[in-house]
Amino acid sequence: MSDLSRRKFLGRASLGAAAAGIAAASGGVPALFAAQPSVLRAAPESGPSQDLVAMGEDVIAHVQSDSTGAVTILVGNREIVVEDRAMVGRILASARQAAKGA
Amino acid sequence: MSSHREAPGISKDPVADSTDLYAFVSPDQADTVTLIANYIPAEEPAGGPNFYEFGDDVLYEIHVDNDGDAKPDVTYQFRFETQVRNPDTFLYNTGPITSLASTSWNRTQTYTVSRVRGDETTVLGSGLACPPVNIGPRSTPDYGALAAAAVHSLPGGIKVFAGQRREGFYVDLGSIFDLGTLRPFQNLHLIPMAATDGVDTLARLNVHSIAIQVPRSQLQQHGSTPTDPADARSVIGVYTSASRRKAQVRGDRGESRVSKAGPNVQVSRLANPLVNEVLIPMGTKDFWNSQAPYQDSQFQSYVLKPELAKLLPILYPGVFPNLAAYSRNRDDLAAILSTGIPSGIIAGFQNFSGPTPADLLRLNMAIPPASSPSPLGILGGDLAGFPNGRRVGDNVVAIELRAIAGATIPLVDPSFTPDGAASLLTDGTSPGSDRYISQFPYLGVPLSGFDTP
Repeated sequence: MSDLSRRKFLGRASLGAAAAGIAAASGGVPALFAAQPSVLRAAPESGPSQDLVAMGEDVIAHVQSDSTGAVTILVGNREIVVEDRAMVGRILASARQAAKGA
Repeated sequence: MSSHREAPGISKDPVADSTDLYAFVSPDQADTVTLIANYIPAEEPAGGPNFYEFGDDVLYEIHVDNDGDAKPDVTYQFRFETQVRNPDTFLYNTGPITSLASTSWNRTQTYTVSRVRGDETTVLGSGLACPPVNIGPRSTPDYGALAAAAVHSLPGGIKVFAGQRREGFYVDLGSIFDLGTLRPFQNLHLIPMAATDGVDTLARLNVHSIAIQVPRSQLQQHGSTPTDPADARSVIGVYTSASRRKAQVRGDRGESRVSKAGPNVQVSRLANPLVNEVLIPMGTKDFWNSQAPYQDSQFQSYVLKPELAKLLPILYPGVFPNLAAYSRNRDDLAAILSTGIPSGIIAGFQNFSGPTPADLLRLNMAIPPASSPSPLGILGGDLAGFPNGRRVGDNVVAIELRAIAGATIPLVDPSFTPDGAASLLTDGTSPGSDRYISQFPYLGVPLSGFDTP
């Protein structure tokens, strides 16, 4: 086998494997072992009976989508998705202010 | 390496990077099974001033499936906590560390072990001391005694150890990833050089081990001691994982201000050696790490048509003609790595755990320890070795090289004749005589920084 054809073969082998990987990855991923986060259709009204932050709990919110208004809220070991376009709108308005350096 | 830095993402997160997993019937306590999960790859013994330690922010787990569904039935969780006695010195120790309670040891680490069975979580031990790392003759003058004191006995006949050990895995990393070179056979390589002995890249390195020794009955699904190798209930499937909290927000004042929240997310997993390393393609490796073994059917094409089996005949022209011509799925590798080996293939042996393809280290707990272990495990006629679980000295590189080269195809396809080289392949490395110890935790005393410049 010439060096050129060997290089071609090595290239094809790698490409073939890569293509197989893409096919496998796009073939549908089974449900994750861990429980999926529950979904709330709207954020509850304010006025919690306990102040989580004062109790030392870290609360982190991640805006996933401005079109659906989905926000992932992480607290303790829990995760919940809240779909609330109005709340997301206010968060993103603040984000735009931050991006402008306000 | 076995699973050291095996994926692009996890290679940048060493404290959560699982490197090797071992599962075997304890040779000196045959009523128990020893499970060892190693983390933090390629520790240089001279690791000061900030020596290696487990991650306080990592959840380390060893999972055991005992009913063949590839999902954990028993999980041992390990959570670590670092203590600093005096934050106003830069020193790890301010004098010789002569005991685990030594006040001159400034930065200590303790851990909690929990067992999860279904919805029930039981704390087996807490405040358990890790040993210090092996610094040198002045700082850790009797290291063997320090490490032995860190073997803790827990209720139920369980022993645990978590801390630095000598690296037990041996491999010629420098050659293998130089276009698949095996030094003893490099005269036959596509780019030939004179054949030489192998060079063990890991010979002078350490690792961090989490080891637990458990009565066999506590791992069997009905709580009885396995005695019949033919009984499916004698087989367990083991894997280890490391997880981190889903979100982290860095503060402005260093580590003490880091906020973490959300569930643990798996960032590393390991069962059979070299699976993610050699079989899974680069673009999929970190995704593979995030998945559970019961989801492994999505990766099965890489087991059935391994890239390395295609490359061997190219890298070693004329050496593997039969392998090159073999176009069927590699059902032998699927049996060894994905389902376990069914009865009727190897006399007196099975470790089949059901048809669900899953990367699990499968151990038939009814097979007693070998009186004269073969580093080639089952390929060497020793049913107590890899791929029946994995012992610390098993030569998994040679075993898997030979398997991928076709030596095990006749187990499932008698019409195939392996190439002559298939049963000879090796990277030419061996562990030497001082790598292991004969009692728990079996991996040797770590090399000291002073003595390993």
